[in-house]
Amino acid sequence: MKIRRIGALGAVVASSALVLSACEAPGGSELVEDTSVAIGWNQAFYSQNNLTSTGNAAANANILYLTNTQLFYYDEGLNVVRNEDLGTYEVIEEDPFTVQYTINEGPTWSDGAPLDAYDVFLYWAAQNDQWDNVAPEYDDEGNLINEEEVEAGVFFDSSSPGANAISQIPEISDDGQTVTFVYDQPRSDWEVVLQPSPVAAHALVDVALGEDDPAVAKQRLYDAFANNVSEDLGPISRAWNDDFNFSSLPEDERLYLSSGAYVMTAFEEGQYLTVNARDDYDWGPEARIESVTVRYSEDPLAAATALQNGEVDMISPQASVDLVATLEGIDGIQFQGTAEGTYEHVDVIFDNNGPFDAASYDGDEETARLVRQAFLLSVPRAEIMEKLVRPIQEDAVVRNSHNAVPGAPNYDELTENNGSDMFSEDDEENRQRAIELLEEAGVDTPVDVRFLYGQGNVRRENQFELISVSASQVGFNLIDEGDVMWGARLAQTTTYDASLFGWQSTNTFALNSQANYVTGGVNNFGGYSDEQMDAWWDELAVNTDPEVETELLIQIERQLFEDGFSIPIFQHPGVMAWRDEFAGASTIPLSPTIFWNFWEWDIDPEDSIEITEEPLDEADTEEE
Amino acid sequence: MSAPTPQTPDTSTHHDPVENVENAIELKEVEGLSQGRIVLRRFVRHRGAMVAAFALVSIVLLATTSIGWGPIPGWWKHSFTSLNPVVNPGGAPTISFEGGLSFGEHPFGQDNVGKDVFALVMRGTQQSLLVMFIIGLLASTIGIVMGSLAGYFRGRLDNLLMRFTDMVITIPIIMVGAILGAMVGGASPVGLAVALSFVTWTSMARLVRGEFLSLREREFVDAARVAGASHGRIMFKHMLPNAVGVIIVNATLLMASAILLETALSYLGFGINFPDVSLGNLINQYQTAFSTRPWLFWWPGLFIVAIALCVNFIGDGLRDAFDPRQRRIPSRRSMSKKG
Amino acid sequence: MLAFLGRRLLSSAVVLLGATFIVYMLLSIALDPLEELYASSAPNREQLIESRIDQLNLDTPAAIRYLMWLQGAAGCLIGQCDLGTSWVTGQSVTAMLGSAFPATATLVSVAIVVAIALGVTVGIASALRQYTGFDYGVTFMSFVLYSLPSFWVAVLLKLWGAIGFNDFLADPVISPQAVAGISLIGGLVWQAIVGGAARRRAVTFLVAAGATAAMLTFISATGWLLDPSLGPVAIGVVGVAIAFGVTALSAGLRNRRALHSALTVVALGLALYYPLQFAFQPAYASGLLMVGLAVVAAGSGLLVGWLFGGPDRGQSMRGAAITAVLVGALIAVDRLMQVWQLYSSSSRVGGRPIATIGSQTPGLSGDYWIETMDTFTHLVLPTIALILISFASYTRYSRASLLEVMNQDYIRTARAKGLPERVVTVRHAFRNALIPLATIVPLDIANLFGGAIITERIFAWSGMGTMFITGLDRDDANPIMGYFVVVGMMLVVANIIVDLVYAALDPRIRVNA
Repeated sequence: MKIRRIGALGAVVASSALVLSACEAPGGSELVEDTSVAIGWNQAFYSQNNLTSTGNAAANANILYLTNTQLFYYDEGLNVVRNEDLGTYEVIEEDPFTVQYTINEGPTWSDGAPLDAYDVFLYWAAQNDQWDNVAPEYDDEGNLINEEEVEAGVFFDSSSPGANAISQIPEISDDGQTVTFVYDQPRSDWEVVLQPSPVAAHALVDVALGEDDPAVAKQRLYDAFANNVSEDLGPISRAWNDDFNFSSLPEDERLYLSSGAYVMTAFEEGQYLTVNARDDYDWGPEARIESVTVRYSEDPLAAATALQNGEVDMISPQASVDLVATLEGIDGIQFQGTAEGTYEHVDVIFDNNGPFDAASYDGDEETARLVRQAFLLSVPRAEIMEKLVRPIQEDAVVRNSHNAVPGAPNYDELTENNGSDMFSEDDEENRQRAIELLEEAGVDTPVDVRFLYGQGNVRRENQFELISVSASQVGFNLIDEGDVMWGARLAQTTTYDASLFGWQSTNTFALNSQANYVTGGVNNFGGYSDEQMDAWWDELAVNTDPEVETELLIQIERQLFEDGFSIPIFQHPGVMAWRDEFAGASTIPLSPTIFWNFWEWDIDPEDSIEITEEPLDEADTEEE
Repeated sequence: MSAPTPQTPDTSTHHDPVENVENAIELKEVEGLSQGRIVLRRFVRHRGAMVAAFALVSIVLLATTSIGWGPIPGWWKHSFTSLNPVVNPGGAPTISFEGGLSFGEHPFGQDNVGKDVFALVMRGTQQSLLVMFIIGLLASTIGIVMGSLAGYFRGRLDNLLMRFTDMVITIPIIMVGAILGAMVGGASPVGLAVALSFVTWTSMARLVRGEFLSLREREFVDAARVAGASHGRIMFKHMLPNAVGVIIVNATLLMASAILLETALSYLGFGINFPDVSLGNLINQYQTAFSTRPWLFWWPGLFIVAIALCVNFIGDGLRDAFDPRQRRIPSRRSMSKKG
Repeated sequence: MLAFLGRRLLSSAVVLLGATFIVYMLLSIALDPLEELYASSAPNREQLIESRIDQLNLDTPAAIRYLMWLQGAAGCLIGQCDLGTSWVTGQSVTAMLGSAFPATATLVSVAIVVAIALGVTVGIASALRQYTGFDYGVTFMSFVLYSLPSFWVAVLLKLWGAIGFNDFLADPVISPQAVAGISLIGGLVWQAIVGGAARRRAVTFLVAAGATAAMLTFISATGWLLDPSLGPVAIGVVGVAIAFGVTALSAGLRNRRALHSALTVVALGLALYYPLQFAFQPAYASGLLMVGLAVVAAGSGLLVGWLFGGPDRGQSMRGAAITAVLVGALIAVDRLMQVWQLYSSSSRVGGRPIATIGSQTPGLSGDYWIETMDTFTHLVLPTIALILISFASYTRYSRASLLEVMNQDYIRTARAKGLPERVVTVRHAFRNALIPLATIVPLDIANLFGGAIITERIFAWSGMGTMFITGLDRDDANPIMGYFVVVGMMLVVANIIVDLVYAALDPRIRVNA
């Protein structure tokens, strides 16, 4: 072929292409739009059943709070708010202590089956251990020796002290709306013991036994528990434990039935989870946003950047001084320091022949007590607050109670009377007092204290440094026992004398922390033992009157401070941040934290149309 | 034998005849000098490498003298563990250029609890350099021994050593760091460096093996063999110097990557731990301070980049100096001029 | 050959077996699944500890647990994989791998291809311009990039590449100062690359700076970035440039037949521009169609080259096929650009198209083109972050390698017999210089997977690295073992491939032993 010919061909082709391109291009792309918000979170959802030990995580609880209706929730002041649109519960008899739950008619699961008393019944039954007849056992070589029993047997991997306090099978009314529980003895936290189950009762039975009629399925569930039918309970327990775990949207809709404001519509593994509003939902606070997406990102700074870039509308990442400063520097967002559910504290060991054990002073209990008090006084709480906590949460306060979260209804009354005023707000004053106490005790200084804390956690490392300097002024020589595996070391009390770590609260009831203080309690690492203390706790456990509870707590904490048991320092500071377009951001120290008021969320509609102008004409015609 | 090996010796010779003017001048320059002197002279002429060497020595001196080394005290007033009153709000650096340079109390600034950042950075530099040198030396040595044995003896030994190398390559380095952290409750710099050396030597081994496989087919090796030289002598006297270019390049990349590896491990929480510091651990600890308290992040970052750059440039200079084959490519014009 | 492969596979299996055992034992020492329970305040803690010990067989020796794990893993050979389950989420490891592997593979494969292409090109350019300003500049830049910690790079990329660029898009006007600055830099870089005498440099500088300035001004003035497109004219111009470039490298411009066949292919592509818009309709468009069209393009290129005939048919065919695929890609890119405006102004994207986290925009319900665009906007930053990790070493190795080769006698011989410099470089030097690089690639894949751990975390990309690191965080051994088995297998396979490639490139090596 000659070049000229090619040139001619090329010219023809090019010009015809030009002419044709002036026409409208065929088959343009289109998009579907709706109102939505995106929330950043650090861990992905993985189980619809957050009652099993596997599924018990904030990542699951948050989503379930959106998709599952509740009989009560905590509001901003940590008061228990009843959701009477769903149903009611009340104590109908004091002796025996009897509580009746009534579900209104109308609430349904997202497959249309009604939500009723059987779902509350399941919440209790699965967490009550009386049917767990077989735990797996292994021989020395790791072979399952009781495989057959386990195969046939019943084991619900869920347990709660509250559910175990009810051993009698509850009665369910004929219409299925009411269930009545009889407690073995009164219980102070009865109000928060039960909810509707996160897994629908009929769906559980359907998955386990293939019974697809909801009414029949529920009856079969009840009968199985009431009559201890192992053939049914075995499969049901295995389905309960294993079948509702998933990390992307399952094909089987029964696995993620919703009873609440939202229903799960998309779940991309490790990336995001989307829930959409249910049109028929009216048995609880109703949502304004059509679609909520929770996006997952572990790195706190990445979350902040994503917020800045508009990929998420609200975040609550792990807080640090610099993250807060970074957020300060971003335009178009707001942020707020928050108090989280975990509180930091220093504990001492009573029974390891160390500096805080009376055995080291020939059994002189008083000397040991003075040394303990002196040591706890030497913890520079004001300096820790100022340097490590307030830069994150401006309004953070020192925690002065072992049992109550600052801001909880009874916190003020408690701290005014619990003896926490022995600790001044001035570190120097505390140190002077500590020096006096040490002199009074008459021990040789410096006293060596092996100090355990979590290594790799910058805030704990900094706290150790501050405590170490302050304690050395008083007469204590802190020996660094920082350990990455500090959790495992807690129980090995011969290897340390004092420790710094956090306790997490899951509800506002003091009963929660009983095991920290009573003789032989599983969380009483220090080996503290006091008959009076044990008696108070026994009394508190069965008391249902809030006034009496506060009275008891005052006495308990007074004693704890007097004995130099431990010193609480601060509530872990958190941070939440949201875009200006996002309205209704709020948080509480307990699960589900920033999700607690999702029905108040709203988004500025202008957010959707940031580019309002038409593209420039030249851009369309530049090739002509 | 399973691995492919060169079947025919390389036809090119090493000692190029004097062909063009440039070469002639170069040869005249080095006439009558020992190998070491030639290398030194060439290295000194490499501007980038000289600047880098000078900078690295300065950094080493600064780091060791300022806060001292072990029991020897340094000239800097703060130790890296002491908590000092915070001078500027937020701990901002006190260095100032108004009315002449004045350092102030904490020229590099202070951290959360008032520690002096200059002292921290110096301590971090010491530890990071230590890690870097140990890994550079130990990993290179292991790699060279493994690689040269495999490449020289071939056969069964080669097979065995290379499969072992493959095995080590497959174990993620981060896992080794994590396990070390768990076993000794946070690694000491020397422990960390030694442990990392045992997993980072693989690339060196493979390169040296490749080099030896081709070198052993060369005439001068045959000559040495015929002359009755022992295996050890042939390997380390005759072949190793010829592989030195590859080794140096790899060793410098290895050292630069060692410092970065330590940084990455720190990011994931598996590096050198509190109360000791390394540069990686510092910038990781304060990575969120990136834009808010830049002195906490940029000073250690600057030192990491500076050290890595220096090492790389020195390596570059050494390679040019060691390798007699590395010369300017004769340009087209110089070729055509000669006709 | 087959015997070689068989033996390699066998020995690799032994290697993997040994490595898994070592890793399993190390993990059993390092991880303590009971750790969180010791710190738990649950009243039934003892019970929980007991049940977890039972669940994970912690009371049996680790070596025996390894054998049990191996038994499950061996099932993979007969198609019944059981790599255990994650005790934290109760999910099976094979399912986790099923979603994690493709994510990381996308990230790493794009990054590795780009890193090799860029690194080798820059390395070769800098070797050919040894000891010039350009060479020193490249050396310095590559060392700096190599020395930057990867999370640092990632943070910078997010600040400038995402936040900065997205802010800029709100009002995409480039200031005259910026235009002048960028053009100046562009001109300097180009004159350094092209080199030559002062006069030639000056001309190059002016042309390059002028072209850059003109392009930037055009982009700024027309708001091109808000609604970009190429159109047939730009495709034609770029296509002709590609035709000349490809021919120059593969056959030499003196080979007129090769040049003509490449140009014909460009004309053909232009002629098909409009018809292709129909083929690209959302209703038909899919990844499969794209691959099919690429194959068709390559085929027609071969055909055109063959039709031009001549003694060096092969060269024409090859050049035309490469040109055809590249021009086809241009047309597809042009189509992709058409959805840019729709995509970036959708409510989910909100005018901020470049993403900083994740691998897709949630709830975006679009067609093939929009999804492709979405993948691109999420892939671009992490890929750049990964590229920078390995770019430096490719530059250094390819530079060193080419320098070495260029000083070999056979290059001198080739020049002496009067071959043009292009032929000497491309035919004689280039191929031989690539051989040592082949040993770097598999190790680099390992490095990238290692580097991807941090990159994935920062960009919230849910892949293998995330699986590994969350496993470590939560003391969950099985996912780590799953990660390890896959990465280890990839390395082993990559090594075998490298040996074969080595043999293909270097005629002195035979795969027989």
